[in-house]
This record gives sequence, structure tokens and C-alpha cells, in this order.
Amino acid sequence: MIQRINTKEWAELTGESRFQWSMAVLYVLFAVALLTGYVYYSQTNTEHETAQRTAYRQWLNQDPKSPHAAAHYGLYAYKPVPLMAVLDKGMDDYLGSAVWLEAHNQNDVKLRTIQDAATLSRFGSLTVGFLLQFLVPIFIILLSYDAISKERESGTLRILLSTNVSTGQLLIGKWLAVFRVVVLCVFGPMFLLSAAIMALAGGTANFVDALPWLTGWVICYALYYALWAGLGIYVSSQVKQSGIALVALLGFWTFGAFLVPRLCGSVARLAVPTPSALLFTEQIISDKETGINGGPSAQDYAELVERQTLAQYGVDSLTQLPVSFAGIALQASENRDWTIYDKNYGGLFRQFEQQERVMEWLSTLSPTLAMRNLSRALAGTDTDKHIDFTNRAEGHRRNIQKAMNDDQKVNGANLNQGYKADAALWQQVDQFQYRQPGIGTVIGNQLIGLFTMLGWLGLAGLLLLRASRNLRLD
Amino acid sequence: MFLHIIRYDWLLLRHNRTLLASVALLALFVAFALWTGHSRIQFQEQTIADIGRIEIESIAKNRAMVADLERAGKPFAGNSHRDPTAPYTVASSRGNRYIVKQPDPLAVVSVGQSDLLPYYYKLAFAKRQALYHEEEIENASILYNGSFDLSFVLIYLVPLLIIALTYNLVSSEREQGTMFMLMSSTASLRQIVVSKYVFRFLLLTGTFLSLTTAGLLLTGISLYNNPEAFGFLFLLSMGYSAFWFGLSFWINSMGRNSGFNAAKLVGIWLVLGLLMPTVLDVVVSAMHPMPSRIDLIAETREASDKVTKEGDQKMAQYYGDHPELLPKGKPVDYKDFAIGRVRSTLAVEAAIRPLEAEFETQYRNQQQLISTYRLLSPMVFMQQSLNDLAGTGDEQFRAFQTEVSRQHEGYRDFFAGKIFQQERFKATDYDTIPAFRYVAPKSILFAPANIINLVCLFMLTSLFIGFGLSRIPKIRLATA
Repeated sequence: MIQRINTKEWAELTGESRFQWSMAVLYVLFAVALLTGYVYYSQTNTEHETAQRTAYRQWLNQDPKSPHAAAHYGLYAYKPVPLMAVLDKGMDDYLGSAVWLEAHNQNDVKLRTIQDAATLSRFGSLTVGFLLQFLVPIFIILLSYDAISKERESGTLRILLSTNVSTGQLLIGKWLAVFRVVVLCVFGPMFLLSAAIMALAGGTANFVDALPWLTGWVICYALYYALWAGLGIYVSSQVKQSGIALVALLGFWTFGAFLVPRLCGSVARLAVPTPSALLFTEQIISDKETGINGGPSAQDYAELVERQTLAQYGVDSLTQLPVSFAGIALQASENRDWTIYDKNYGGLFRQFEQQERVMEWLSTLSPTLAMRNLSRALAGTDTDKHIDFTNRAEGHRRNIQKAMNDDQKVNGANLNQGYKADAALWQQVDQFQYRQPGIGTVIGNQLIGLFTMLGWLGLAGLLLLRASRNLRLD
Repeated sequence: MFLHIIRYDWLLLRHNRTLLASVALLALFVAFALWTGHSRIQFQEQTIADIGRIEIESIAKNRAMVADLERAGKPFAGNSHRDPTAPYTVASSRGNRYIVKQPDPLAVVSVGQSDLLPYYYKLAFAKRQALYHEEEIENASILYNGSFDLSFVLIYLVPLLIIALTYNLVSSEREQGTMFMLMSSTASLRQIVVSKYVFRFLLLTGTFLSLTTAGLLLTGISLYNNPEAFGFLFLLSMGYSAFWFGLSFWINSMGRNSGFNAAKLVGIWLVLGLLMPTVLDVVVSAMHPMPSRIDLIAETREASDKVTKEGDQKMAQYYGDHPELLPKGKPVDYKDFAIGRVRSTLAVEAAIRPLEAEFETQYRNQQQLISTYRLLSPMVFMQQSLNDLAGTGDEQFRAFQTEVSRQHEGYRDFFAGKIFQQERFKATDYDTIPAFRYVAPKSILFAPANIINLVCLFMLTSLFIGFGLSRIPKIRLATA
């Protein structure tokens, strides 16, 4: 019976003019979005890869110089663009893409595309993700708002239920029909086209790597559309006039897509205020000067290191040391700075995470927002991944410092500042390679979003169940 | 007759939850927007106050240190890179000056680009590229979501409230079966509908404007000192809500059912507010793509490497070309770290100038295109006008950046001579480090673009009202 309802609805829905013109609009936008995504990925990815190679070549081609001078010269680390960014570039424009790994300083990740863009870009950008998260639900609303109410308005509901169709079968049949239309006419073809373009953009190897993410992505979107279709049918079953169902559903969409995002950003800012960049920087400078956790000041620390080194090697003066004191002192000062950066940046990132949590909890109000968060997390274009990148780049910076200072310590003995290292040392530093966290970790960080989605789907199911018990006939 | 209709409309509306809910929601939105806006401005003002304090304290502290050294007649004992008597050190860290863009009086109205672009710069000797690297700490997710500011309430939420209040103004009469009563009254249907619209317009816009004004006055903004800004805000709000009321009037006058009206109006809202801007953005960035900042990094490195490789020889040549920069009464110390840095800074700047010019060109091209097509979406041009009003638009930040670059030259010139002549930086020199003040250019409120935006709103509104007025008499008792 459900199958029959499904078939009848399919014929009816796909025959309507509102279906045809909204399909046309969706596909035109989709084509533009997919093309934009393809161009974005190909260009940015090539650019970052080339830049990464250039930076490393510049590093290797350094003239003989003191290891510390090389550490100052440093390396640039570039954030690779994941293949999934073809579909959803998420927050990439708002997050930096390059960081300078130099001596003494943990730098911020810079170069945010959005800063070069005009106000217009802040209205949002047209990506496949945007289309699937925001526009397809409107399409579902258009398909479903009058699914039951039109039967009621035209008096056919009474007739329908006088046959051997149960209310439950009717509701489920209509739900499945809407879902089927969305999957077969919109999501399915769009997904296949997207996958083809991804394979084209990234090549087979990258595409195969992206498959688990793509699978997770598809499952999430399928759940998302099922829940919208369910809500649409439910609202339609509860109203006297189709118009009211349309207004209610569009209102809910607007609330979730427009109001909640801005609201949760503002609330998070008020709930967890972050320091100004000025005071943050001043704090680091002052921590370096005076020390943290009751540790010694910069001056005392330098003297302490000197005393300890003399004691360790059992000599009376620095000139008697069998190693270069410059290397020891520089590394000691790096070690001290690292704890200071860990305290300050660690604190800042924790605040960001708290803000994210506030926003995640508020986005339980909006399945649209939960889907947006899941989509960009699976695409690898969200803040979590950005912070992971930042931490790994900093790890690489610390390895470079250690390698340079150790070399100065061992090979720079007697020569001290006059010592010059060469390409043999530069080659000890590896090219920076960023690998994004595994899919398990990413999903683990998105549990709130996932539960939000399942919760809304469950709610839609429960509401339909309730409606099947007490459906009003007119 | 108008008052008569309004009186009965009011009696009806009083019992109608939609009206009450709309006004209550509007009050809530405006209050929340002004509250978050106010806290943002306070944060900026606090930061600016901190800047003033830090700048003075830091220079005073370093001056005292140098004065002590001078009294004792001793050179600085610590790390040579931290020497407060070396002009290069002073220029890069011990004698920093700041240049600040104060928030405009009505900045609370629209966050605009102020959460993204720096409103202060720390001036140091280093390459100018560093100027792009001073930005306020802000969680990218919050930036991405956008702010709940007054401009958001006006641009996106007010139209929805208008739609909720009016989408069934005519159609509900028929759907409730009261149409024949209206048609049999002495007033024409046109009179009745127009009165209802005017009444709702006055009610909603009045509520919005009085709440906004009260809120702005509460946060300490003086109406007396900013008459143009307030006047412009009033005109824009009225023009924009009139636009939506007009549109709804026209749609209603077609005599279709409530569902159709709601779907059309929300559809138009979506197309204008969501689709137009994103599609326009795609077109603009495809036609005039920004060059890549990443190329800028590679270019920077190449240029500084070249200077390092050229070494002392080029430096001797440089002094040959600029004999006035030769140290007085002593030979040039070619091992001087500072001179190498200065030369590399200048070389890098020269090298990246063409790329920077390309950024500028593309930015201008983009703005040109946007300013041509902005009229396709009232959301886009309203945002522009409100940003101008708040002093948080692209143009205001551009003007600030340009001025910073100009003043930065002055700051650097002050130090460059001392560095090349390999002088010591004396305590009294600390008193003469140039200080900077940014004065924003005269308000761009009445720039042609903003006037055109306003005129456009009123013209479209008149057009809608005209269409509506001519359609209403054709409304029948029942749909055909």
C-alpha cells in the first residue's frame, strides 16, 4: 500500500510546475557552485603545494650561515586544501592558510582570503554545501507543505481513509514519496556529479582517500532530508489551510538558517569573551620578561642556565666548555618560551573551544545549523581542523629550533657565533607535511551535531506517529 | 474616514496575536542587537584606551632606561638586539607608535567590516607587509556567522515581520467571508486596504525607530551632535520598510489566496537577500579574482634573499649614492645588523609593490562591479549604506589603511637616517619620535551612492503602490 501511495505521489509531485521551476533553479545554481568549487580547489591546492615546495627549496638553498640565522629565516607552512572542499569550502575563507615558522615566535596563521574581499562576500558564498544545506530544504518544504492539507481541503482525505489505507500508511507513504523525489531528482544526481568532479579535480588516489568522508557526508545529508520531509508532512497534516503550513515551515527554516547562527555567535561572544589582540600580545611579552608560574625572569633564567651548564660540564667559565654555549642558551630560551606559548595560545584555543561548545548547544535548535557544522567538519574546512593544523605547524617549528640549536651546540663549539652550518644541516629538517585527523576523531568531535540531527529525525518520526493516531479529517 | 478605519483596525489588531508578537519580537531584536553592539564598541574603546596607556608607558620606560645609562656613562649590557640606544631596536620594538581609528558615533548600528579589518596598527620599522598582520582576535566561526547587529535586524528581520503582519491583509477578508461586508461599506475597498497598510507601516516603523532612538540615546549617543547620521538612519529605515510594505501591498492587490501571497513574499525575500548577494559575489570574484597573498610571501623571500647575497658590495654602492647618510666622523661598520635589515626591508617593499598594486586594481574593479549591480538587491545596498552610516564600510577601512601606510613612511624616515648614520638613540630622541593621529575623512553619508540607494527605495515603493492601487478595484468577491 505504501508503495502505491509512493508511486502516485511521485507522478503527481514531479508533474507539478512548482517542482519543475524549482528544479531548474536548483540545477543552475548547482552548476555554478560546483564549478566554483572545482576552480577553488584546483587553484588553491596547486598554489599551496607550489608555495610549500618553494618555501622548502628556499630553505635548502640557504648559504652557509649560523644555525640560528637559519632558524630566523625559517619555513612557511601551508594548510593543504582537502579534496572535499570542492563541495564545501566551509570556513576556509575565514581561517588563515599560511604560517611562518621562525625562531622565538609562535606566529598566528595568516592570510585570510576574506580580508581581501568586499562586504559583499560576507553575505555568504555559493557552494554545493550551501545549496544542499539551505536551499534543498526549501525545495522539500515546497514539495511537502500541502501533501496532507490539500487532501483535506479538497475533501479527498475522507475518501482516502475510507478505503483500506491506514492513517499511518498514508503519512509514511507521503513521507517516503517526498524523500524519494528529493533523493532521486536532486540529491542523488547532484551527489554523483559532485563525486565525478571531485575525482576529476583530485585524481584517483586522492579521490579514494576522500571516499570515507564522502560516505559520511552522504549519510548525514540523507538523514537531514528525511527529517525535513518528515517535518513537512507533519506540519501539513496539522493545518486546515495549506498556506499556514507553508508559512510555518518557512518560518522554521528562517529561524534556523538566519536567526540562530547570528544569535549563537553573539551569545558565545558574550558568554566567553576573548582578550583583545593587543592585551594577548602584551601578556606574552610580559610573560617572557618576568616568567610564569613563579619561574625566573628572563634575566635570572639566563644566569641560571649559565650556572647549570657550567656545573653540568664541571668547568669554571664558558670558554672552557666543550660545546657551544650559544646553542644551549638558545634552546633553553626556546624551552622557556614554549611553556609561555602553551599557556597563552592554549588558553586562547580553549576559549575558542568553549565558544564553539556554546554555539553547538544553541545549534541543537536548528537542524540546518547542525548539518552545516557536520558538513564542514567532514569536508575538513572547520575550526577543529584549523586548530589541529596550527598545533602541528607549531610542533614542526619546535623541531626546527631544536635541530638548529643542537647543531650549534655540538658543531659550533669553540667557534660560537662564527660557526656556519651548511646544506647538510638544512637537509635534516623535513618538509612540513600536514595530515588531517582520521574520520573517527572528526566524528567524535561532532557528536552534538550528530545527536541533534538524529534527535530531530526522531522527533519528526514521533510527531508523525502521533499524527497517525489523531489525524483530523477536516 | 482614515481614522475611522484605523480605529476599527486597531480594535481588531488588539485581539490579534500576530501584531502583539511582531512588536514584542521587534523590541527584543532591537534590544539584543543594541546590547551586543554596545558591548562590542565598549570593547574597542577599552582596547584603544589600553593602546594609549601602553604606548606612553613603554616609551617612558625605555627613555628612563637610556637616561640611566647616559648618567652612568655605560653602554647597554644585555642582548645587542634589545639595545634601547640602537635606533633600529627602538624602531622595531622599544619605540612603537600606534595609529587608531576611533569608532564612529553610530558604529553600534552596523558591525560591517570592523570585526574583520584592523582598527589600529602598531607602527614598527619592519616591512610594510606586516601592516596586514595586525588583526583583532576573533573566533572564525563567529565571524563566519555574522553579527546580530541593528543592520541585520533592519535588513533581514523587519521585512519578515512586515510579511507576517500583511501577507493576508486582503486575502483573509475573503477567506473569512468578510469581504462582502467591506465591499458593501461606504468606503471603497481601496480606501480600506490603503488605510490598513498606512496604519501598519506607521505602527511598525514607529516602533522600530522609537526603540532604536531610545536605545541609541541610552548608550550615550547624542542626537544633537549627529543630526545627519540620525536623519539618514530614519530615512533609510522608513524607505526600506516602505519598500516591503509596498511590495506586500502589490502582491495582496492581485487578489490571490494567503498561501500564494506568503510564498511569493518570502520567495522574493529569499531571492533578494540570499541568492542575489551570493550569486553576485561569485560573479564578481570570477570576473576580477584577487591575486594570491601566497605569491606575496614567495616574492618577499626572494627579494630579501637577493639583498643578503649581494652583501657589502651593494651597501658600499648605496652609501656612495647617499653620501648624506654616511656616519659622521667614523667609518661605516658593514657588519651592522640593522643596516642589513633596513636594506632588506626596503628591497622587499620595492619588490612587492607591483603585486600590491594588482590587489588595489582588482579591489577597485570589484567595487566598480558591485556598485553597478548593487541595486539588484536592496539587502546589498542597504548593508552598504548602513555600513557607511556606522563608519564600518569597505571605503572607511580603505581610507584608514591608506593613511596608515602614508604615516608609516614618516615614522620610518625618522629612524632611517639615524640607522644609516649609525648613531646612538639618546634619551631626548625618545621625546621626538613622531606620534600619529588619524582623522577620518568627512562623512561619506551623502555620497551619490547613498543618495541613489535612498531614491531607489522610494521609487520602487511608489511603483509598487501604483501597481497595487490600479489592481485593487479588480478584486472580486470570490476567486474565479
